[in-house]
Amino acid sequence: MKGLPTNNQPSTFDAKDDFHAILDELREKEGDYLVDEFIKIFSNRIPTDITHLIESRKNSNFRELKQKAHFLSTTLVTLKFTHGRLLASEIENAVDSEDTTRALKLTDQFIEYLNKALNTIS
Amino acid sequence: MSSSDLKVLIVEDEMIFARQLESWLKNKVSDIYISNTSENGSYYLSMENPDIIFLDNQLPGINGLDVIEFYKEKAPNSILVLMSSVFLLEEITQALKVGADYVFNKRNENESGLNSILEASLKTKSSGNPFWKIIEFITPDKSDTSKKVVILEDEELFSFQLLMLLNNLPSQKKHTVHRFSRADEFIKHVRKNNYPDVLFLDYELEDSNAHEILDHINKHGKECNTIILSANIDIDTALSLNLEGVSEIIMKDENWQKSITECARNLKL
Repeated sequence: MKGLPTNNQPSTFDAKDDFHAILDELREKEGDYLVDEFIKIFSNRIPTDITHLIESRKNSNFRELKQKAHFLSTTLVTLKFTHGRLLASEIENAVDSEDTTRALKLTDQFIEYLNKALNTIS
Repeated sequence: MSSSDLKVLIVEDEMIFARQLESWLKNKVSDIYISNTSENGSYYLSMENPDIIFLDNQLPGINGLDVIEFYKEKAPNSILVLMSSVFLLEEITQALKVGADYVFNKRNENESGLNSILEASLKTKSSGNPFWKIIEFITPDKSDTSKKVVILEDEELFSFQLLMLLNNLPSQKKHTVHRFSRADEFIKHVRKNNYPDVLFLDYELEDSNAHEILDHINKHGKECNTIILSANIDIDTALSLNLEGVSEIIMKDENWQKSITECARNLKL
């Protein structure tokens, strides 16, 4: 079945993650050192990930889109960026169900989301 | 041997998660090695002989699932934990079949889950019993959608595989899962913790059977969705169980994992 919402999927993807608040909470739990390390890795790597997503989208390479979304879902789940993680999961689902229009639309939103995360926390 | 003597290898290309895992483990184990490919990970297997291997499923080059057999051959005494943020049903079954000792859902597990893995690894090493017999359930973070689930099944390997499936459902929800192999353990548990929302119940137990357990549940008037697991059940027994309040009967056949997933979806697990 194409594009069926899962139970914990937001009804729309315009929901926002409050990046600063989430990272502050993470700092309390995991400490400044580790969170600073996370931000450093995120800031260094995400621009390349975004470039790969743009390339895969341009070439309609859905296998690569899915792989990259899967990879980034680990990043986002560790950072507790819930809406980003759900977007990544939905891209995987859309590719699995061969709903290419939805996969491309979600990828656009995902790129926008990652850019925003990058600009906010870097 | 204590957990602080354990050596751990993390094979993970996503460095934010690798650092998180390292941070959770660093004061509990003696050495942590991190590799970002399965090929490089095999170097640490030979050189360092780790006690536990956390192996990511999706890696650049050769995937985790594809190197489990090789890793286990090289390090047969290591506990191998396959990790992913999304598992396909067949990947879990395949991973356990080819030698993984545990599947670790990156979304659901937390620091306390890691402690369970460390403790079970130590017990496995000291007792010689298989890891899957020893590992305790991992309590997920509480959420509005989490349910209490109990598996009452005396075939412990089956029970372990069922636990792994429930820990990795497509709904991505986290549930508290307890597993017992004896009816008396289950009764003791419900007296202390109340009845679960869902009970996966083996039809024939060593010390009891499904009818006795259902009788107990019905007598106490508790709402508990009971799913019967059986390798062989006749139509009369099935009808009788239905009258006793059973929600579903799942046959332990070659499609049991699919039946469990379908059943979990129906129960909104």
